[in-house]
Amino acid sequence: MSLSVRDLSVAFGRRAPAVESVGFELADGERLGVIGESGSGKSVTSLALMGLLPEYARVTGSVSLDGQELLGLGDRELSKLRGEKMSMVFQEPMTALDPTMRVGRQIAEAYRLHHPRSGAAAREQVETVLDKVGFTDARRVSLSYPHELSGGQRQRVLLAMAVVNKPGLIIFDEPTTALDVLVQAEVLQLIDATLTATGASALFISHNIAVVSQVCTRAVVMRGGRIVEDGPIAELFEHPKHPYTRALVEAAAHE
Amino acid sequence: MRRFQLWAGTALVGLVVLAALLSLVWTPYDPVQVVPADRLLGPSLAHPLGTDGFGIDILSRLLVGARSALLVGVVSVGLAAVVGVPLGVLAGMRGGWVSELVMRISDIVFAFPALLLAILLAAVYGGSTATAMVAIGISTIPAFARTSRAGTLEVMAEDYVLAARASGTSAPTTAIRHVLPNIVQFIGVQASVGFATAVLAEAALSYLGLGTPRAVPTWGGMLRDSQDTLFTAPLQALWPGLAIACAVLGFNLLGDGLRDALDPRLREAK
Repeated sequence: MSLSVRDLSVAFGRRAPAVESVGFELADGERLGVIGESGSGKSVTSLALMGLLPEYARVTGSVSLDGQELLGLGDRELSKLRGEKMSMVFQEPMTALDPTMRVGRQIAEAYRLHHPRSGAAAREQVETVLDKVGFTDARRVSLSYPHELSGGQRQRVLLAMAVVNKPGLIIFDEPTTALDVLVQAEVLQLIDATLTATGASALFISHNIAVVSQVCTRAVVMRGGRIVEDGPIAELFEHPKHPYTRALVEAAAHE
Repeated sequence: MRRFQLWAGTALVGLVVLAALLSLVWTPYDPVQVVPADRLLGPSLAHPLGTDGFGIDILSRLLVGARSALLVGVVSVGLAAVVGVPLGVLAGMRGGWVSELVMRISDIVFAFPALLLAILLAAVYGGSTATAMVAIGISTIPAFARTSRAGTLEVMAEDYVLAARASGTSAPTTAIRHVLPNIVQFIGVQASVGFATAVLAEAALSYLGLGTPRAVPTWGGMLRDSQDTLFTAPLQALWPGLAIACAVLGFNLLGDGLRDALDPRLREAK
């Protein structure tokens, strides 16, 4: 799906805006990286796209998904779009799964929200999608509680939950930051493969330009709530224009 | 120490429940039949706890009194939870003016003395177990609303709520499926503390004659009856007093024990 963000600003109360006049275009099937340090407004941007900011946040500008304006939609309309057309993978696999629910049921619920009256089909779908994210023992995993799984396993479950309805746009908010380096590489490969297989567009948020470069070809760099530079990642690496981008590239080289 | 609280609480509460259950099938004597010849007897084999000013066996009345204490506890706490928990969850999830409104109203109810409310209700509808339960229930609503709101705020900060919303779960469904199961431990603790308060309040209302009618045995009513002969038969006041203390202590210990047993941070520290 294509996504068009224009002049997006987010402010909380009377404080300085967390996001200011952010704009970018995402073509169907394209992957865009969003790079920036914590507090740069990248997570707020992603939550604003999903319509998940608290009510007291003032969001202005325009976000359109395949031509449909999302800002100003009510919770009911947004709930229909979320999961079905666009979904999100969160940073903390430790906290992004409900501790009181078996993971299979959590994925099944996500499926059934958009496919009512489908008990048996949902169960089948859960195993299929768990298979797809690399679990060889899908049935056992689906009966586990989140605390019985490792960080990498949980992140794969979250990925399964995000793709179970085959959305056209997936937002990844620092999906590998909380993981060990080896697991990180594995999950990145999986994300890459999943996106290639489904043809979904993706917004990939990270503070690490090297990580972004493994999934995306194009990226925007954010700082202080604004986009300071954008372009192909190879270009950002070789000829960073903004001093901040230069610092990020150097930091990545040291890591 | 933690385990001790839980076990002692369970034992004391269990004792009250047993007494109530036992009274349904058996009491040593008729708990309401006046026997003028047996007035104010001391403890003996025939009457282990003695008799009261009407010649009624105190043990029998005590057992039956457990019934009304538990009934009032269950109904008033149930009422408070059914109203308070949804309000608290709503306030916690919506925030803003909804939260302000719910919390300010609950402050007002909280500041209004339960006793005054009971007198008011009794004046309008007549004193009965039902008015006592409603009065106690209403004045316990704020406690449940506050606890649920605090728990909800904590849960709402967790990513799994965002993740559920991101997969298209509507706000009401999120409340039922993800928020409630994760705050049920706070509600349980609040319920056991509320139980203790309810038992005490019911005793106070019966003592004042605003609750259960005089003929029905209640612990508070027994205290009131013992007053007239307090100096000739002081033991008569001791038994219902002990029963109330036992139930209140039991529910409080159970509440504390539950809180400690269910708090994951404390559990990990073990």
